[in-house]
Amino acid sequence: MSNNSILVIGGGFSGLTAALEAAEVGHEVFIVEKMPYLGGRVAQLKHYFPKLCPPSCGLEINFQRIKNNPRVKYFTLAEVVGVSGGPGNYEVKIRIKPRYVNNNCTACDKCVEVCPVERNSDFDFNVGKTKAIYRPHLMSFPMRYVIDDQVCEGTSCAKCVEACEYQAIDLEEKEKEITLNVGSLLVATGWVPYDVEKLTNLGGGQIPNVITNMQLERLAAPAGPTDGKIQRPSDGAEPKRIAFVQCAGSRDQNHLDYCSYICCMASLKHCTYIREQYPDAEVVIYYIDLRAPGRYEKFLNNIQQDEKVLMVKGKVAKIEEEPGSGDVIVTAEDIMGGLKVEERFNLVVLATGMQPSIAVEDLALDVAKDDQGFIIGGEEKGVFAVGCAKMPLDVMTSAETATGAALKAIQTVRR
Amino acid sequence: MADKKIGVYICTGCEIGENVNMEKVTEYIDEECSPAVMKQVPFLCGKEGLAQIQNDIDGEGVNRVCVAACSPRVMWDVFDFGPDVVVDRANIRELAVWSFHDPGLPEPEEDEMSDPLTMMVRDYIKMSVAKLDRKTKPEAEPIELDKTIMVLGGGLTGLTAALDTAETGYDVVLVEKEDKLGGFAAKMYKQTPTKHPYEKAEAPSINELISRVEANDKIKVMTKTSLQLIKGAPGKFKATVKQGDEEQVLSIGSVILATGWKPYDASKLDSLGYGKIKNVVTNVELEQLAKNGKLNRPSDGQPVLSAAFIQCAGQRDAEHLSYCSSVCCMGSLKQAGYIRELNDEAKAYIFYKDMRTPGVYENYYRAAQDDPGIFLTKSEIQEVTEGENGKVLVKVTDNLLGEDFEVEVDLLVLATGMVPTIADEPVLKLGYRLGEQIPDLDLFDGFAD
Ligand SMILES: Cc1cc2nc3c(=O)[nH]c(=O)nc-3n(C[C@H](O)[C@H](O)[C@H](O)COP(=O)(O)OP(=O)(O)OC[C@H]3O[C@@H](n4cnc5c(N)ncnc54)[C@H](O)[C@@H]3O)c2cc1C
Ligand SMILES: Cc1cc2nc3c(=O)[nH]c(=O)nc-3n(C[C@H](O)[C@H](O)[C@H](O)COP(=O)(O)OP(=O)(O)OC[C@H]3O[C@@H](n4cnc5c(N)ncnc54)[C@H](O)[C@@H]3O)c2cc1C
Ligand code: SF4
Ligand code: SF4
Ligand code: SF4
Ligand code: SF4
Repeated sequence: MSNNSILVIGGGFSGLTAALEAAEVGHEVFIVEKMPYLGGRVAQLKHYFPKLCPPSCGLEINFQRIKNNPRVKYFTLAEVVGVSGGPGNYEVKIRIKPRYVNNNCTACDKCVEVCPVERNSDFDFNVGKTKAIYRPHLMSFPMRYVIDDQVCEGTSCAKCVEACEYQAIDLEEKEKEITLNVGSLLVATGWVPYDVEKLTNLGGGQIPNVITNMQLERLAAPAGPTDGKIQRPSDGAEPKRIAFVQCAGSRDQNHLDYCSYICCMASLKHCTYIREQYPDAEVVIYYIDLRAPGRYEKFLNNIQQDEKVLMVKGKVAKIEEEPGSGDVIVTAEDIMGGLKVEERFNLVVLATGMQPSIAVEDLALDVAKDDQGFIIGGEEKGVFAVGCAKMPLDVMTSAETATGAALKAIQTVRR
Repeated sequence: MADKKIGVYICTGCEIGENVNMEKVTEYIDEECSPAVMKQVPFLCGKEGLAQIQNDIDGEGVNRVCVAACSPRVMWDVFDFGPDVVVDRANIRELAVWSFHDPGLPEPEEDEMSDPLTMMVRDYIKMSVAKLDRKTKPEAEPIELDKTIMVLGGGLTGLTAALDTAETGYDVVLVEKEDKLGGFAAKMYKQTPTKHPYEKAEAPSINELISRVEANDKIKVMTKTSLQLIKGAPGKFKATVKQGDEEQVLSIGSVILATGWKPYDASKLDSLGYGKIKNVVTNVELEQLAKNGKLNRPSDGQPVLSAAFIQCAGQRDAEHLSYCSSVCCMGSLKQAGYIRELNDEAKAYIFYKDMRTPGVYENYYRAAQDDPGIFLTKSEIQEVTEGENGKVLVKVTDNLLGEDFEVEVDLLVLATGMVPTIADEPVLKLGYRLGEQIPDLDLFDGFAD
């Protein structure tokens, strides 16, 4: 008799969708998420296209479904460390890192006031800071604080323990390992932003006023490090001329050898963020092809109405900092729209692509991947990849793959 | 359910106690609602707080609990006292204490009035108690549901849906109006790549899918069948279908709409030569020519040694189809391959606005770029005219070089778009007062919302 339960690795939009679809037809589902919160990358966006809803909108609905469904169990700060067995009968070992903050946490923030240690916020892609004990983010689910043990001073400090009125902090919590028995596995490990440091000709990670599209999401997010104000990192100035460099690392055999699917749409969306704050700012988008497939065309049409947004076909060859002003000089191929070869901007956004997270950090699961790290097999083993672990996709299509794969997983465990 | 007995538990932790005049709150609630039990607890979600509530449930018979504390977004798992106790959360923390900014109003003159925050808190609690007082525990009334699923349309989508539904254990009725299954996929010569490395067109997989559907004894296939009417409700539909002259009523639980698409009416594209020049065809027609092994010039049956493809022939154009059809860039890359297959010297030109091969399909685009017989360029079409000997002249402006040029080809292919079948036909035939279609916000140019 096969085991009826399903394990979902990764609790982003794809993983949540797959888990809920399977649970709502009666299967027990476990979500294993390595971050201290569920929601994945979508939680980091200000809005998501096409409807420009805040991410909490779609995510909260799913969290509500989790709360009301006793069949869904989730583990944060958790990773799969070993898988044995076969379809219908897997044994999965999970390592759960200590959070150091238990269920008692009421999110009162008192600990943060006293903690002496600061760290760069990975959630904000280092444009912001948090203390060593921190709230993962404003709408974090679960709403529970967490300690970064790489920087925390530990029991010798323990200031937070003293400040916490609710006995929520245990600095001596230890790592745990648990074993789960499941019939099928869904891999929803999603993506990481491509490492801009590798884009040396584009000033990636070198020039302060050259940021990534995901950093822009955090700068524009109301609960982000600048309370939603889009400003230049170097001096906090309001940008008046902004460039977007499309395919930064994507469609390039030296970097990501595929198109990342969403970054054209993301930059078009970012034009709405800029326009909301700066009615007069000029924007130039350097692109190879504007990929707004299917019904997204309408979104492109709307942005094309904006006279101060110029879309220029051409590949950017070089990006340099102008000494003194903090401005950035973009050198592009000589292209159609009558722009000079060199243009000066206050802020440049690299539309970097999505790289499968397991290309960067391997998964303890034997499943075929292509040369880029996308999962291309597993069906025969009752292992199904969904969302951006399978191919670069937007949220809507990711969710569709998740629903489809949930059905396949159900078929596997019902056999 | 036994008599209602309401307990109100007010948390004084999380800055609530310090900021709210609890005496006024409890006095007011007592007077207005007189709950059976009312307590202030310093840390309600902690062990002791929860134990107090549980004690009152066990000892006093409290069966309705107002938790006046934090948002139901948090601690939802903690305030759960089993199926017989109804809990309501009066969110006085997030909605009042944490979000309230003192507007600096003058002190209330009348003594019984409270400060604004205290008034908010007592009102939230009063509302919660009112809710608990009126709420009855819902009793499920399970009804027998029909578990058969009807799939409407037997193209690739409908076939896949039918097969997956059957393999999950449900009975399926597959209704197809034509005499054959497969939809457009069955009319294709080849299909674009479906597997890594996404570089080569493949033999169509549709026939295998059709055989699997036909061999599955959970799927009842009804071809040449039309849907007449759907009545009833989810889980309890009655669908009238007509096969030949015979009508039957099927009991079904759910409907999957998979009626696909129709090609855009190419007669509206006469400016691109369609209908006027013989050797101008649509991508749909080309697919059929290739499938039938007759990829020759329609005018005289001569071999095709060169072909041009005009992308977005109608799509992305407010006068025709305002959306992008998503598949036609891939389709033309595939069809350029058909032309190249005919003859080593054959040439294919693809004139596009943007090459839309998103995601992993980039590989297929790259493979075409690597083929010296395929020319791809971003361009604007100036004019399509008939040349000598049945040739078609296409004049374009190359957007990259800013130059006009002209090609003379044996065949011009218009990459036309797809229109959803449901755009102008009431496919679902719902017998509802609201109309035969599912009411739609019409956000998506005729596609289902
Ligand atoms: C700049 C930018 C803007 C975007 N804007 C939009 C938009 O507006 N609209 C839209 O539709 N799409 C947008 N996208 C795309 C969108 O982010 C993705 O479609 C979406 O994140 C895919 O969800 P996912 O669940 O597959 O992956 P993810 O969101 O990456 O979630 C994966 C989850 O798995 C976890 N995980 C990873 N590895 C492991 C492991 N080994 N063990 C356990 N857990 C693991 C991660 O922590 C994460 O929680 C944007 C992308 C970019 C780059
Ligand atoms: C030129 C061209 C080339 C293409 N090449 C490819 C390719 O190589 N690879 C690829 O992946 N995609 C390709 N596509 C896209 C592909 O054709 C569609 O994605 C696919 O046909 C969608 O399948 P479907 O089942 O949704 O619709 P359809 O194929 O349209 O099937 C719908 C079915 O429903 C039936 N039907 C309609 N109305 C009713 C009704 N009222 N009652 C009952 N039955 C009904 C129809 O008879 C039909 O059998 C191409 C498209 C074009 C235009
Ligand atoms: S850990 Fe303690 S002090 Fe910190 S937010 Fe949670 S309850 Fe408050
Ligand atoms: S023990 Fe760690 S988290 Fe707590 S206050 Fe000290 S440094 Fe901060
Ligand atoms: S979506 Fe646009 S920017 Fe992103 S890789 Fe594809 S073409 Fe380039
Ligand atoms: S030809 Fe390409 S860009 Fe044009 S509608 Fe079709 S897929 Fe979209």
